[in-house]
Amino acid sequence: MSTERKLIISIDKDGNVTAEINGVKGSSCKDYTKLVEQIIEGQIINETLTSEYYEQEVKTDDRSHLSNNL
Amino acid sequence: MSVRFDIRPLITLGETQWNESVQKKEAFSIQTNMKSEGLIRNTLTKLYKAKINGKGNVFETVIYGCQLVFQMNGSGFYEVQYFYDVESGDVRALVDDIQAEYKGMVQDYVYNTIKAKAEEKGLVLEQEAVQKNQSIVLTFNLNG
Repeated sequence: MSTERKLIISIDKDGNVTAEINGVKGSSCKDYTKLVEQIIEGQIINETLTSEYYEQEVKTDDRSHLSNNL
Repeated sequence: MSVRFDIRPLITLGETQWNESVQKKEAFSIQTNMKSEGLIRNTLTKLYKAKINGKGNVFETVIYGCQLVFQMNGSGFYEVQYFYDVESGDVRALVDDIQAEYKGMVQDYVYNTIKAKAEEKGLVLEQEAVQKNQSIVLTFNLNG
């Protein structure tokens, strides 16, 4: 079963925005930076890497291979 | 979660924020954090049904008998100038009310922009919620 990848955007009452990418392990979550900038049309003033960033990404091919062996 | 971004939408940022701002030092002038002429106009109309004269970097209106001139400063934000014999505290309270409403307008603008852009990019809005602190939270599914 694949992990749910989500983009969670919070707009506070002053219009400031916080965006989080959930469900993406490893450095590939950084691939979404451009998407976030395009959607929000703003300037990223801070970026915080969370625990999932330091977890190993599971390749789709590897998962298929494991399934076939079952 | 993997990564978290704190973002200032362009509509809230000064255009020359990294440069030394050019600020006029006038006796009857109040600096604001407002930079969108359109949203200021919408705010004045919504709150006071105010008639607004002029456009662009300088426009003026009269609220409760007090003439207010909105003029963009060197940082890209508007300052409010007033000329008549009114208590500065009264004007400041008026400007505070305008700025409070303006912020709500900014939130609406950002919300609508994000939803439109996300739809443009083909993202599926999974959930939308308003928090107790008045934040709006949008959850998009990235699995496509």
